[in-house]
Amino acid sequence: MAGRDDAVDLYRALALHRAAATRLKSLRDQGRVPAAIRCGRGYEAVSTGAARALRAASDGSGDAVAPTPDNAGAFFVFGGTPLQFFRQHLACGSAPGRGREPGMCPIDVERGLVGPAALPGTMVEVMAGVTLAFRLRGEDRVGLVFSGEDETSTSAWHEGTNFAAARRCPLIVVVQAGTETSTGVHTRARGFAQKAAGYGVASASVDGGDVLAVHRAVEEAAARARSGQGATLVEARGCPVSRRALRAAGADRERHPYEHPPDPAARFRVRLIEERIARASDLDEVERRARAAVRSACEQALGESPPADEYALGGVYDGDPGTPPWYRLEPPERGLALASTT
Amino acid sequence: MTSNSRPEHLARTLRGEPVTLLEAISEALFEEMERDPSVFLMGEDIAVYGGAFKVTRGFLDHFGAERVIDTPISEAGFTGAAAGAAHMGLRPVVEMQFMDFISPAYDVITNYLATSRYRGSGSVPVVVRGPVGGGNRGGPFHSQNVEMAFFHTPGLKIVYPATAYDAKGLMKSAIRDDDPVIFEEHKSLYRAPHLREVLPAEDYTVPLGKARCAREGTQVTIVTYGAMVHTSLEAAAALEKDDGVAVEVLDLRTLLPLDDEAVAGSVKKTGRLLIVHEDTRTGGIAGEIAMRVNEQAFEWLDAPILRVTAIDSPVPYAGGLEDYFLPRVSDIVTACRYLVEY
Repeated sequence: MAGRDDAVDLYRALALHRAAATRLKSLRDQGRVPAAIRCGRGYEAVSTGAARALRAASDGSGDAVAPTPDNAGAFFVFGGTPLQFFRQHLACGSAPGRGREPGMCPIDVERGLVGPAALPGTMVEVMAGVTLAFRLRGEDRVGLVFSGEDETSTSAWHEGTNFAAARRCPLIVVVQAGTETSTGVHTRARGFAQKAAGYGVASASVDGGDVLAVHRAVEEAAARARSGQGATLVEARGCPVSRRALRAAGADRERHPYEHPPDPAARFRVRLIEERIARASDLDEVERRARAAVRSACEQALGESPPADEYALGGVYDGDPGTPPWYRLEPPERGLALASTT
Repeated sequence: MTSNSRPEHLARTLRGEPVTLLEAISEALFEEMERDPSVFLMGEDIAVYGGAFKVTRGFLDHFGAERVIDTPISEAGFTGAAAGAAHMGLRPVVEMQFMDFISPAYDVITNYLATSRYRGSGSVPVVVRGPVGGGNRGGPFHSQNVEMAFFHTPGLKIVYPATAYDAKGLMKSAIRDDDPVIFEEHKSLYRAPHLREVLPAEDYTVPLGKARCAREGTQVTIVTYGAMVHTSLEAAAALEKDDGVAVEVLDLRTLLPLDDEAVAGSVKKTGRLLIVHEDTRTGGIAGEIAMRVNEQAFEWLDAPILRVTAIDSPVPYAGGLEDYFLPRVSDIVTACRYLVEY
């Protein structure tokens, strides 16, 4: 962090993540978005700390980031707006995904946002390719992909990480790890950072609830990547434990009682005040503005129309709006020509 | 086996109570594990949590962690491990949390499991089961039907039940079968109240490869499976009431091997064939069935073979888009009227 303004800016990003995640959770509780949707509460520090250590741009010249649905803060740091965020989740016709896909966003190449995919680990492979393109074109750009601790068990995660390592791609793989208990569900290694040695890449293990620690680790990883030293694996410990790990650890819950990690937003707030970087009233105002921006965006999205039903047909191939099946036409087409219709 | 020996919720049939399709599958798994100690389960969250849809709730306590195994997110890994265990004489049943996630295991299923017997490596009695289908606002990654991704692979069997009775009997047959079986379970049918039925208390199986006449008729044959059986039955009832048209509905139950005899027999009776599937149109099973009828019963046809299917797109997220994507009762009615008037 260069100074007070940077720190407050970082808090601003973190507060926006928190406000969006809180509102999304309300929508989920109200049944307005699917119950299974992930809100990202507790991921504020790792999301914003990592993204703010990269170079965001809106003209296709910046770094690239692949957030999971838990990483709204990274989405906002890279130029995504609360309105886009809620339009997407509420499946509005005006959403970037036009109601066809849930989750945070599809790809926005200009802003360097690479949308999440549902299949765990896939985005590590994709980001290996994104950063391979940076390297092949000699661009001074890096990519960062967030992954949950459970994703590290997949073939895709392994193959993507290994590919990036082997080709010296400027990629930062952030593993959002939970507690020691949850880590034990996914690996026999003492931590995910240990795995970096097997891939031959650099690593860092930081407190994922400490936004400044995450920022510093990613900043160093990005510098290594830009200097041609390849990929880095960053383990962010103390993130919310995945539901899968909680379930799997359930049998041992008496032996390993699960404690929610400390609130990263509150931690950073306390630190800013204690170190006299910002006053409480200033941070209150930051939070108020974040909540207002989120409230306004959410209200607007809730008032917007869903996509027209026929929109389901198009977008499969370039320039093809799709054709309704013959039995949906009024009146249905008849005759031998039927065979040529969809 | 007495009702005292199993969890309360898995003894409904023994008590003469009706069960849902999901409960029927649970009972089948439970009874097969009781009957045959070589049967065991693997999958994500199936043990402590009882599965994402609770199909295996209570199994861990009853059978222990050696037979109900929680896995990391590693579909390729645990499906491959199932093959190895099957070589050693066990009968693994693996759960895909959503069948959309079967794709990482495509390699081991198609290149290894399916070819094992032919290559001289013996039988691999593995059941790969899991939830499929749309209508639940799950979007592109939690709603797919996967049958045709595997239909083209000799060596596999594919089962897709539509009723609780069939689900239980087919699951038992699948587990006892010496070839690899993909077992699709439609999410919308899992807890559908109208599908609750009292099942026989004694052990029974439903043979693989045999279709079921779900409704007799004389003027149009609908060949279908899974959730579309019930959509087709609704359409058939409407056609009889409104048009006086007698529609026969044939529930395939097993897609591979296909029951050619049942399909051709019904077509020879009605002279008109409509194929209905929730899977997308191009490359759907309708094409294969139409070709077989062309080969086996062309002279009996009084009208072209038609199909009603999902449209050729990924499964969209927004409610209106998904409703448009899926086949409707009115689509089937329109198509049947066309056939009758041809």
